Amino acid sequence: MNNYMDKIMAFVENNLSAKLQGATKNAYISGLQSAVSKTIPMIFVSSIITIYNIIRNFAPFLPNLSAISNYSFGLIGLFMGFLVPFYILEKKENKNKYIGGLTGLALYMMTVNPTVTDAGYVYNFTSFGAGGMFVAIIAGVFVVFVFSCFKKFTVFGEDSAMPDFCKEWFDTLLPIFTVIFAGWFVILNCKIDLYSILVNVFRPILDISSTYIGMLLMLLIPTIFYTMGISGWIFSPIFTPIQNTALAANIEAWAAGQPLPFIYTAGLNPGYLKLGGQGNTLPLNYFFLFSKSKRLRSLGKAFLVPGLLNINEPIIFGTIVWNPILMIPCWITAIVNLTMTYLAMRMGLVLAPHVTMGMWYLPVPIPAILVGGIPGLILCLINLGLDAFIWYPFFKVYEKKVMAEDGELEMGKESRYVSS
Amino acid sequence: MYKILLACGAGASSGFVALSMRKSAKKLNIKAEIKAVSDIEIMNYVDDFDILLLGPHIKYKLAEIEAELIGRPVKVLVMDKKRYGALDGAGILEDALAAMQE
Repeated sequence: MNNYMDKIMAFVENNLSAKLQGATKNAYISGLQSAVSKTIPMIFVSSIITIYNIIRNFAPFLPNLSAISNYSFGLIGLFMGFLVPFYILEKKENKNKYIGGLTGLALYMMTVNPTVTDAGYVYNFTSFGAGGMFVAIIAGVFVVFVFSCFKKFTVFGEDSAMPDFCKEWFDTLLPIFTVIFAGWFVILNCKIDLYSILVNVFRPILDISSTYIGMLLMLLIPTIFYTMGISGWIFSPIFTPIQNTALAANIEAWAAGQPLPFIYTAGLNPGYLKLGGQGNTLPLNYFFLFSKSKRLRSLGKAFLVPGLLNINEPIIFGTIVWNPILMIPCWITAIVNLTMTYLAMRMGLVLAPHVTMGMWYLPVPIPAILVGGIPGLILCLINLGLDAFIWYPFFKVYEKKVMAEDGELEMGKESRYVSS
Repeated sequence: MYKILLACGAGASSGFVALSMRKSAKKLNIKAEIKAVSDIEIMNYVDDFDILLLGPHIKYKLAEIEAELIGRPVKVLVMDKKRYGALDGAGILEDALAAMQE
């Protein structure tokens, strides 16, 4: 068995990891990951307001602070308009990253397509939000493309009498002009509503991601990777925009009194699907604490504080990675939690998330309460109970193995615990 | 003073490791500045540190990061899986110091 495990491990580390290395090294993927991560503090600010609003439910005399949410999470699309070209250009070591970022911002403002009235330009504020994330990504990639093309091209040659700073002005002038001209031509002149077109192009991705199979794959594949020792953060450039765009759509629908269009949104994972971290390790941590094995008891203590904050790299790397006895329950609990959550939401028993809740490190079941209220809490606790039920037999097998290794299975020692 | 930078996915798990390392350094009377960041932030901090320690779960980023660090004196080391999992600050500190002596 061990030999087989070693072969699989070697295959993963040599082939899979190598492919992942290639993928993350790509400037577009790497830059996108950085851009997305920079929006997280804004999501946190909005999440604070979500918590505040719950308190406000009981104390209605408190001021309405939803504007704070509007000007943080509500501007994510706009922020991405700057961040996407900025970080991709940075990864490409292009000195014009700031100018590229600003150009991206300008292009994004154009795609948002304001109505020109006598009173001035009227912008649809929701277009600045996460609904525009994919638009920002496409716009940003276009900006990077243009700037990269012009990188090799200079207006004035090396021998020109022009001072350097002048050359640089002209060298950046061309790509900026090209981008903004292209934007003007397509969006303002030909009146092509690029924003809506791109949103519709990406809509099927959102729809698929809220299907059972879509959600299952998006949860299970990273979990399997994680139990093999590969961080799930590589998927964030794909998943985070999908989750936040879907959340923005839900928030908008909720405000309009419409039914919520998506299940797979930001906030779903920490609420119901990753209890204690990816792989649902919270029950295992608990069992460790009360284990008969001395080693597991002390590990359980060490893992507890991070585990309560849903940070479970310690327990994963300490005991689970490449250990089939503990890998399998990670996968099973993921499938079970997802199935329960999907059913509960499709049957309308629990509402899909429709508020921002980006604080994934809040202890279970707080995120569930924030995104789902009392029904959410019940679903979370049911999932947790099922997970504990699944973990227990695997835990016992592992415990026995550990105790045998540590020589604690001798008759004398074991009988000391039999009575308790 | 030894300047050690840790990086992982969110800077969260490496944060706990950093905590454990600081305790260990204090016990051993070693002067060390130990900081944990998200791997995305590495380039913003790396010039102020002597060695960069990567979480084992972002090992697949090693080549990318080494490429970005060409020409800089900072050393790079992937943290040991078992030690990382056990939050063994003392062990990882030992590995880091050994790598810095080379």
